[in-house]
Amino acid sequence: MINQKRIRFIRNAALYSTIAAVVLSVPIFTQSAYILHLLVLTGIYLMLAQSFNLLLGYVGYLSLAQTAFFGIGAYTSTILAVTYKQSFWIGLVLAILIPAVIAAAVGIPFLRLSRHSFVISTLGFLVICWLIARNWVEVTRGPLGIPGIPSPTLNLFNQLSISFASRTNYYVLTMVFALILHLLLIKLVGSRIGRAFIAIREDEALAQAVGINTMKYKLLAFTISAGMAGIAGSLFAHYITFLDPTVFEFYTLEHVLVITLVGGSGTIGGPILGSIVFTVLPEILRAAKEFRLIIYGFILLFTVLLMPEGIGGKFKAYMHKRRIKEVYAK
Amino acid sequence: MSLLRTEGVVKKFYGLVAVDKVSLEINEGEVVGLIGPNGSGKTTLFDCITGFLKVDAGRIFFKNKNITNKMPYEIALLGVSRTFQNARLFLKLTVEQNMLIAAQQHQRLSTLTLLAGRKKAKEIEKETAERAQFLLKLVGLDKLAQEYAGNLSYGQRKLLSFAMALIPYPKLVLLDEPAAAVNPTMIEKTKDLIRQLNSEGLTFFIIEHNMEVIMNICNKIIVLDHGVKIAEGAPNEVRSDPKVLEAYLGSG
Amino acid sequence: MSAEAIFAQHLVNGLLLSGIYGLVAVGLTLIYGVLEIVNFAHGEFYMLGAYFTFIASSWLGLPYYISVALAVAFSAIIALFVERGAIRPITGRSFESKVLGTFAISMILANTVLLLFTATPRTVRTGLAGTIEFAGVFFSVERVLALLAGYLAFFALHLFLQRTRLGKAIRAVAQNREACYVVGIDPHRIARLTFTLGIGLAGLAGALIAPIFSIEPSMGQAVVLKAFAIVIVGGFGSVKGAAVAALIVGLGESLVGGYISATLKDGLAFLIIILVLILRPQGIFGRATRVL
Repeated sequence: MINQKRIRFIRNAALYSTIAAVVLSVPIFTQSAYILHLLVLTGIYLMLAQSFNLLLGYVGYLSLAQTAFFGIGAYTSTILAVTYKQSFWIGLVLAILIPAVIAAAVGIPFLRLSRHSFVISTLGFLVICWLIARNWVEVTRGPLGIPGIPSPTLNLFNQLSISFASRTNYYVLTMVFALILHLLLIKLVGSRIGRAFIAIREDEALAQAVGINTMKYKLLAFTISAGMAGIAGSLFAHYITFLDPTVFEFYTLEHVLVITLVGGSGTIGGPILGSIVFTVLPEILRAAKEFRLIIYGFILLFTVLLMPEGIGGKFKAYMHKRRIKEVYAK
Repeated sequence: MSLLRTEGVVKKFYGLVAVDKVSLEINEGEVVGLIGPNGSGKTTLFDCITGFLKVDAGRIFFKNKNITNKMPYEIALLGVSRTFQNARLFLKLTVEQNMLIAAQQHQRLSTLTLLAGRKKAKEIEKETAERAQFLLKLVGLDKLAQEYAGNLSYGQRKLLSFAMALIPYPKLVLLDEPAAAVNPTMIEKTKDLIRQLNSEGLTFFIIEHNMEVIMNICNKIIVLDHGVKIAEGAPNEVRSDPKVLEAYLGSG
Repeated sequence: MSAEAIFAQHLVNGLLLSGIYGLVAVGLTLIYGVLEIVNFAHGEFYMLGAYFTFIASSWLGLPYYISVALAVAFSAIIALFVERGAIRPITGRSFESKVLGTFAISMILANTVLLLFTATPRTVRTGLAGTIEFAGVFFSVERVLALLAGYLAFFALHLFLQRTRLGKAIRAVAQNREACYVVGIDPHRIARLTFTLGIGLAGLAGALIAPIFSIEPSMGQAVVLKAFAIVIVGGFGSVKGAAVAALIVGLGESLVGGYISATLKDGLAFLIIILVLILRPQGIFGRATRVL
């Protein structure tokens, strides 16, 4: 038994390291600003999608507030950098903490509600954030937005200074964060906390009956996913170097929904697949934004109707069938 | 020792009284049956005891500790397990995963102080896995450990929920119609299990309609009718109690 | 303007908004009550009602009354298609699937209109001239018409639900879906009818509001959130609750917007949502939801 586990651990570690190496070495093979741009955006939206996925796919709660936390993280980091001249890294830490704290605060009443009311309240929260971003002009400059967000720089031991202004460097920065985030996510989902999440998703009453404090775990998931969305928001703002209230608008939300659902909620790989497809595909099609969203709408509808578990879910089911066959064969 | 005690528990739904001032006591080591015509409030009483419904009046004690209106998970962690009438399971998880989740939170109680000790945690996990395997074998589901719970037959699901109720070393097990819609062989198996576990010290509180099962394994029976406790006593006493007969015949 | 006049203006506008929001909200709550679907696409049908009116009156040059009637009719036709193609298949699914399904429909409708008409706001000219005076304020005919028509529609709906067999059947299914099989009511037919009715009400609201404010493709999204606020406050599935809550939200918005701050008024509905959800999750009239 122990040897089997050790083998599996080494295999997983090797797989992960290989993926990390491949991902990080992309800039060696291509200097194309366009491709790197797409990949940076893929990475950022992927992190946001995973935050959404954690709540919907693993705990079973549909939260439309994830893009709100994305925006809050973006604005926190931006305001700290532009208005208060703080370093990116301080902004990043706060971009994680502030959405998390807000999530913990609103999560307590929201998570007590029935599922319908929860969804709507998260939507209401999103709209309120949008309104605040548009109207609190003293801080956010309203619809004019905040331009000139500085690129991050990293000063090591006052000797080495790395600037992330270049696309290549920003790509590496984004991917490092994405890789770390995924590693933590995989660990979380595989842990007993992850199992508690799944129990809540499957049958919340039964989860209570076996001793799981569902409120605590729901709140934990809500807070963690808010922090994840916050990081993505911060990276987004410093990449685009301009931020305005449109982050809170439905386009971001719809994009994330399609990525997560078509890719497959409830799996780690699903949103990865989804974000690659849906960042690359529209660029290939070069369709106007409105047309793209119509297609997204149909894709989302068909997915919900015909393939609710997404591509990732179907793959997972297939793998399970194979495993069962092996077990029976023994 | 008194394990479970209710005092005047009342539960109403929009003016309809489902449980009407029910007081009862279950002692350690007993197998107590709860019977009554359909709609007499049996499952509602279970829901009140296990925290799924808030009571409108009355109190509930477990090991002389007041558990009235506590959250279900708190009551579960105190040592009260239950099954549900429709054999609720985590359908999209495997049989083994179901067992592990059922055991998980209760492990925490003992690992709390040893959170830093990875070795101890590994030991406990190993022990849990072994116990899961043992219980699955006991109910005859060990070969299906990797199958999705959703793919089990109804009788198998009932056995799995029984096993899940047993894995966290409970003090009191509440079974809601363990024999309903189950084939006779499995019923016999269930009866044997209950007897065996009871002889090892486990206390049972069982809702059942199957009189043969009730009469055979219970040492005390409580009868509800329209939410009121109308009789209580040894199987023979209850069987010949005119009030009980009337409750069943009258509503049939 | 005198203080009374200002108040009258805000009052009438508030009543107008209440009527319009109310029509949208009642449709939403009926759909929830009968089909158990939170229709995220509801606002888009309101928007379609407005655009149909625009097409009929501004492009085809039809008189306003006919435009409104046509708009409602087309809304109903689209509702039938959507119900058969998208709503019926997702009725049995998980709650999250239903939400996402209607969200998808909302995306499709909103962006199709955006594509066809661009984001440029349009104005609907009704050809109805004149103003009506009340308490020293002059209101346009369209505004008064919208207000009256809105409340008339409400009244007609009330009669329909209370007096007619079909209306009672709808209320019955909303209360207990299974029991209806016993009595011989076909819930599927009722579901189809209710959906169409709810959408028709939204379309009517859009058609009535079209000449008063300029219309644009995203108007549905703003209104649907207010409608949600009303449905939450009034309780999911309660028509009476929706009516009362609509008055609160509509009047509140107009008075807050007029007396306190224009920017705050948008936030009012959502603050109401959050407050009600925290203090009384089932709304004022709603059915209490179980803990688990």
